[in-house]
Amino acid sequence: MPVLLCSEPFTADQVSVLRAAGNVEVRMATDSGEFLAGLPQADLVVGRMQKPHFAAASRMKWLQIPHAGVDKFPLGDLRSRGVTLTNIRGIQAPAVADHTMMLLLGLVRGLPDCVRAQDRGEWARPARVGDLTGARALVAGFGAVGHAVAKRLAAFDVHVVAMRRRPAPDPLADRVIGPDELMSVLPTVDIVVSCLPNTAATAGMLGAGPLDAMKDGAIFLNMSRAEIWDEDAVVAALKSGKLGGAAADSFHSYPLPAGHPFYTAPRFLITPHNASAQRNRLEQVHALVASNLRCYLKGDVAGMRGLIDLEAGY
Amino acid sequence: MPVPVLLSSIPFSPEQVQALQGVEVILAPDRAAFTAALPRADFAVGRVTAADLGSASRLRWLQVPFTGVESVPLKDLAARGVVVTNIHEQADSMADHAMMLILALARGLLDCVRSQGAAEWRQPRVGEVAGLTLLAAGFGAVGRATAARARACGMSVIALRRSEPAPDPLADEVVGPADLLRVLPRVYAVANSLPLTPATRGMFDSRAFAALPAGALYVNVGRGPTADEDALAASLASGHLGGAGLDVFAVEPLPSDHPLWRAPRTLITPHLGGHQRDRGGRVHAIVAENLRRYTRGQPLRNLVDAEAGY
Repeated sequence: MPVLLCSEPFTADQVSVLRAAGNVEVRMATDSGEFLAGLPQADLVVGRMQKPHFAAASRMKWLQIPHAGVDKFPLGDLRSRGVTLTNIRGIQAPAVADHTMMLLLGLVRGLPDCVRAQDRGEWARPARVGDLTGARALVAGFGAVGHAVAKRLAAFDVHVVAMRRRPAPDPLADRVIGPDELMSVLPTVDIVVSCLPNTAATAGMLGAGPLDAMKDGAIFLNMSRAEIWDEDAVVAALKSGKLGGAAADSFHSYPLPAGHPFYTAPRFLITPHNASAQRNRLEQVHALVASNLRCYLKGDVAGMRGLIDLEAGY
Repeated sequence: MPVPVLLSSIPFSPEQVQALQGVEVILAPDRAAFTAALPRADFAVGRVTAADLGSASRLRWLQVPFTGVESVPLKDLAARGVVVTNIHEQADSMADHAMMLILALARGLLDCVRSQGAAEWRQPRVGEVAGLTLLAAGFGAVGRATAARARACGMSVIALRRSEPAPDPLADEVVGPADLLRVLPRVYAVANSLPLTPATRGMFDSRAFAALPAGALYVNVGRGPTADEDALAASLASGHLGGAGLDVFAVEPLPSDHPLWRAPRTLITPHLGGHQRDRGGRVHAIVAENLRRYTRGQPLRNLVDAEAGY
């Protein structure tokens, strides 16, 4: 009977649901030591993995991670070992998309200025207050998060151009382009939202050159990893007025170091890597794990949610 | 026959003035100029108050360049045969504002901005709004635009409207004012866009706030006096309400000693709901359209009902 090792703090009832999923022995690891010690016997793994974990998980055939990013994983090695890898991007998408809309609306309507005026007890209107109706946005990266962002943008009457590796018409976008059209589309949009995964192909994809191609006054939101853009170029573009506003939730190191120019850049919003924070996270992760486990035990790998293409890296 | 005079408090561009055909356009740069020119005006784009009634002797059509008309003497104007229209074109920006306040409260943006200003790294406890319920209190243009946005975020929508509740594609449920206390326990966020009328004054009182579940959010982009501000501040101070996003107040600017300035988990914006890109252009579009309709004897858009008060 395959062994499933799980380090997520599921309740007893939630564990029973996993045990009832089929022919599987479920072992719960209550701390990182137990998790590491149990990995050599585990065929199936649910948990957060770092370098020593991968070395210990010699029998592992399926890995379910309780977060999105796989850019630090030994993907080539997992591929040659025939490991199936799944993440939780689907269940995080609504939270990330809500976060994106909050940051976008906050920048367009001057909310940071309002908060600062409120803290001074002052009734002071921001210099510029806009709205989203009729604006044009590029959603770079059109997976689960990009789709959830595009759906919201459309309800705010924003025209959406989506960019993905393999462009195909989509009801949630007015137009879908490939990366080859990026530079020609950037000057035509008011808003750029990056929902790109961090892979060898996407690192720096929205760096200094593409930033320079954006419309003056554009708003640039990075919901991806910090590797996607050029932090120094973004700060310079905010200071020069080239960018109308920008926001980020991901940085090169956590917490963002004191003295980092992001803390003081004008018209810039930072949130502490909580774009994917959700209500009832454990319940949502559990439902996904249970569903993926049932699929895996039936041999229905294609039916699993959050399946990572180990070659493409996302 | 003399050319009718259209007096405007909105600073239309020369091109916009030219596009208003068949009228002589007078642009009033300030309130005094508007009042001084009012006796010559057949049509006016601006605010006419009770004090202006005596000088509005030629006025036949008043286009109010905003939504809330409680300061306009609607019944006196109606008695003189003046047609009054208002602007619903601000509905989109007001709905943007309402959703911004809801998302900012749900995702802890207030804490994030303060942490950023202090160069501190603190993660507030936040969540997504999908699966939660919005009460659109007031289901006119603003309430409907807010409902459309909330639905795209995965929320369910209960619409509260005065007129006969009838099913609506933008709402999961439509209720009347008598149902308010019954539905509030199911509501995560109230988006108040009610007009101020005798029927809506004080609608959100201490009983209403108490009927909301603990942690619920209250957002108001309509008119301040539709809520009891003391009850609102008390509910926030007690920890019952999870947050408030307020763009409108009973007295504006909000007096410096008002308890809402210091209420916890509260976002205050200085009546920005209607602020939008190219407001002049959007007002111009409706003025031009209504002028065409007036000239052709067709019913005007956005007619205000003097009896109902909105």
